[in-house]
Amino acid sequence: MIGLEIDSTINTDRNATRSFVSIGGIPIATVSTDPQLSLKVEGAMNRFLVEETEPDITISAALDDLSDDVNGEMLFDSGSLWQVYRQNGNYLFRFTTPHFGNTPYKIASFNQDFSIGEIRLHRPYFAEAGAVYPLEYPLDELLMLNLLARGRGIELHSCGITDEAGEGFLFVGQSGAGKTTTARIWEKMGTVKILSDDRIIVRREVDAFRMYGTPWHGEGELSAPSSAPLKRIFFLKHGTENRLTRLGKVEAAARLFSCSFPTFYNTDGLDFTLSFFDEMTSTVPCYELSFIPDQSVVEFIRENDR
Amino acid sequence: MKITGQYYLLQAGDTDIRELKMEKSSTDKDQPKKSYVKPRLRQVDLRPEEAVLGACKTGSTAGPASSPCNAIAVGCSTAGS
Repeated sequence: MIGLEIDSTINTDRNATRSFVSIGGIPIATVSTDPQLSLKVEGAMNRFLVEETEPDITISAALDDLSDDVNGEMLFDSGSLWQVYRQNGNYLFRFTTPHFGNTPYKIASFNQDFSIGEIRLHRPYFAEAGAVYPLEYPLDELLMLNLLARGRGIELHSCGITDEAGEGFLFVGQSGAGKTTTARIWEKMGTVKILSDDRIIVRREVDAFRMYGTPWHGEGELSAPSSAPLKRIFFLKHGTENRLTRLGKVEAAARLFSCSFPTFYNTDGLDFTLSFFDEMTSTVPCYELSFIPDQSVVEFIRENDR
Repeated sequence: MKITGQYYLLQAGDTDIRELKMEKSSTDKDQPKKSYVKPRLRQVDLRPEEAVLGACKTGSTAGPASSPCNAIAVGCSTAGS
């Protein structure tokens, strides 16, 4: 496993055998090494397709006859679709569904630094499926979380908005906090850009933090492959008036952690994530935003930002 | 200053625990002694099903709702946005 050699001559239809996406400034290449497997990209991920480039990670994909057996130490069980194992120094993600029992529908393996990957799709499930998106959720997001945890950045359950000046506002909150509501209110302004109404990546630049849109949007289906310098962080709270409360860095870091997607099975990654929040909350002003869900909150924030 | 341990959940007022771990240097002797603030633990409200991507995103997203869920009928109906 992970003896990856990419043969681009397997199928001369380039569009069907290779795809390149870039999320959070991290290019990802997927290559079909199986003449029977055509690739596609789905949904909002299409907005993140890029021209062929030098990727941070190259992933091969092929059909295979998978078995129930996994050799290796289980590191983490999501309690749902996936588990992750440590096997021969690699990370192995196993995806199952109650519909098909214990036989996984997909297994994805990655080397230690997540620079090389291999996806095997269970042939009986996918042989008749036509073109396939091998990184199908939640693998695409799990992959990104692991890439970020290796010193690149973090992802937050949040809505990201870029204003007319090109500055970024991050509205953080768990499900039901008002992220999509916030995105729709700001969208009505017509002069701002919504990077995502549900998931935002934040990375460190030389002297600032930058937020990036992701394809993992919320009910508003709002996402964009853009980025902006991060100016303010707001933790959303439904209220009866618009009110801002400045948060201390410890409080803010704890709230960020609760709205992040930590790689609980990777100690170094978890340590990096915590250190990242330490830096973020030392640099970027953080507030609790109690808000009324109408246009008044936009003006309220603008006034307080002057 | 070397930062060790996971300190985020340990809070003394609004003082980062790193400040409590600072090693004394010669200049510290000249500084007035800080008043002691009892550390306290703060519970972080995690939602496991969201934090570990255990639930499917809505059908409108690029997720299993559109391929494994539909194409090969993976049982996946919970919105995870």
